[in-house]
Amino acid sequence: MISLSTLVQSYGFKHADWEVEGEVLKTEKGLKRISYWADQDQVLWHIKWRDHLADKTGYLTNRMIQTLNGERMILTDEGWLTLHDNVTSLFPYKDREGEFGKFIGQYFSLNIEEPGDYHDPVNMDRINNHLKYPINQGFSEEIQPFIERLRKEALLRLSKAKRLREESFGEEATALIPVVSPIFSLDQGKIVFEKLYWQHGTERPEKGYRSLQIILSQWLQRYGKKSLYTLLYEIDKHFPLKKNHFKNLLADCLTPWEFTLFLEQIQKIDDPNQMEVLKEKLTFQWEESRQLVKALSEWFDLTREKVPTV
Amino acid sequence: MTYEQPSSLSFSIKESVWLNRGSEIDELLSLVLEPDISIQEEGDQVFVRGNLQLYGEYRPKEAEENDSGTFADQVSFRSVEEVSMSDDGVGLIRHSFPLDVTIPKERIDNLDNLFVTVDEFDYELPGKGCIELEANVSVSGIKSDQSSYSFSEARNDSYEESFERSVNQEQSTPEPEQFEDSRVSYNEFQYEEPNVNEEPVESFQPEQEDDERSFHFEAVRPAEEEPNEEDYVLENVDDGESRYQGQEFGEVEAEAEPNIEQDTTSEEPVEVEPARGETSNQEEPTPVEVVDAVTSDEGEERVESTTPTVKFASNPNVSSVDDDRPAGEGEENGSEAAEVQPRKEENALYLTKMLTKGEEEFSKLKMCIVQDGETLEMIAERYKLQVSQLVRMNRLNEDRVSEGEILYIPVKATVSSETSDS
Repeated sequence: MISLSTLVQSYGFKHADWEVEGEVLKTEKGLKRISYWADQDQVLWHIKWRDHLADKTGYLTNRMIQTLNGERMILTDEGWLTLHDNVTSLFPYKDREGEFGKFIGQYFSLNIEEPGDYHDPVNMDRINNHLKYPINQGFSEEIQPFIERLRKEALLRLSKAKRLREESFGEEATALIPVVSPIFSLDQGKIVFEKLYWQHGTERPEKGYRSLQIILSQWLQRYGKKSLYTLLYEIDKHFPLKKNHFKNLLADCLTPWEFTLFLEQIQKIDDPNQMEVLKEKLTFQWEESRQLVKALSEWFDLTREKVPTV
Repeated sequence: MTYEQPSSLSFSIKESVWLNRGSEIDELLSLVLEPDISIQEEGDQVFVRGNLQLYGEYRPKEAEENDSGTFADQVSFRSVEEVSMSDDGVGLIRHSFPLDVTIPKERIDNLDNLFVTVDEFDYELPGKGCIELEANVSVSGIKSDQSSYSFSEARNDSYEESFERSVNQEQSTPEPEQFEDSRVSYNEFQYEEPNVNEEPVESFQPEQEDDERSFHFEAVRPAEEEPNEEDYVLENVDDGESRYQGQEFGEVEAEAEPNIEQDTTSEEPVEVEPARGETSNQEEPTPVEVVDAVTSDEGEERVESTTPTVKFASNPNVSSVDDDRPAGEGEENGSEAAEVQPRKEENALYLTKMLTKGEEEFSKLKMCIVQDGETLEMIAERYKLQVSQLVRMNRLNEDRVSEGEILYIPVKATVSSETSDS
């Protein structure tokens, strides 16, 4: 674990103590959170991403605090280390579709043109390999039909996703698939001085729309369809969703990632109670995906009707 | 030897269960409400926890053809519920109503006599996507004494009748497999505002559920003796006549578990085995809480651990029952009974027979909706019953039934009490 004295010396704190040992530091300048990185390139990518995002959007984000020597990261026995302000108050999104839509639109249109080790979480080929054959691994009589029926429906979802992606490449060959710092929850939005403060993680940059899917899905669940549509309109002003990205986004939403995750998880369990928990979890996630696809496609139909055909 | 007069804690449940869009009911084939509870003794309290499990089968409404050519139709896919339907297109209903009752131990002289029963059960289909249920549930086997009546009156005067149901939607909501009112979050972050989806059919509306859930407290009342009680009841109790005098629900307990007074000489404490407690981990029960909060005869002073109190949030409907018995009698008899009646290892669960007079040992009722062309003989044969049983159970005036008619089907007990003849 990083020593307190190293941090005090590097960052020039007068007083520092552990709030959470190895994670959060209590200093005369407030609480500071430590991030550890295994890969230097990844830190560099995040430094650049956060700088650009803050410049472009004007919103605060957990940028790296500089050391006394002006460095944004230090090398320790634990690997690369960066220090950040620690903010915990959640941003209240309600009735702030415009503000947040603008931020997300700018977030996904940000292209920092930094080479990196991108992660593609929605790999259709891999998922297709999971689903193309009947799955029979000695499951109980009760679970086997459940899995088989869902597998067929998942294949149907995947085929629709593939078709959308093909159409998308045909229509919008120039569309730029976003590469972003991954988002896992709306709760990464914090509030500082009544302003949005976005808290990034340390994960690999992500190519595609999975993060946008999560944002939209959670928004739908929290604030309903009407609010989601307002948010989509706002996003579209800054990120050409309808024109360039919609079908790819929908393809990612259609991809039955939750079912393949379920298949992976049930391999590791033998307790029937755990199976029930996983089934429930799958049902919940599947339903969220279904609701999002429905809402997005209806929004697309709605906006398409308003555009006169040439 | 004298006996405490058993009483029942009764309340009614009124629930609306919404199905997912695409899972709307065209025809309800069967519906069963079954208690799935465990009884546990902890300190001075006895906890009755678990769920009322709703099981059913239905034929879903045919999905409308996607001929509109909209983008939404092209990319739509089915919910897990729709996909999970059996091959013959029969949808399955599964829903849990959490139950949590806490009773002071002094009010129970024998855990084996504590039963949770569904006395009445009915439903309506106000829309294709909704089932409205009404059930009367009793917890019987609670000793009645003077304080119990003070309790029920005192609740009106002194205690907030807040039914602690659905305080936490994440815990109390049913399984999302079938219903969308179960918005259990698997995200690591908590939402600041829960699901406010605008379409009530598509997602469960917690506020709506709160409004529609109403548990009506009826009474803590002594069970009434059935004049024509079965012989075995009398055979298995030492003083059956005095014990069952004035009982309202006595026949239910007696016929369900006839050996209620066995092992009266053993003083060795026996650990109470939850009846079916292993299933209760799916949901945190919350709805009915009976806690210690009682007034004395004056109705002011709080007396702890002697009488159950029920808190209800919505539609409190309390009625009290007069009783002439002296206040101290219950405690005396209770302690006496506690000395001579050890707890048994099992507790049976029963759906109370609504219409039987005690001649059959049935543990629950199924509801059967008569289909076109079906006769009583066919239904009786299907459930391995006599036609006469069905007629009696359903108070039919003739041996004919018509399509759409609901029949109560008695199902024989699967859990029998352990009999000890020592």
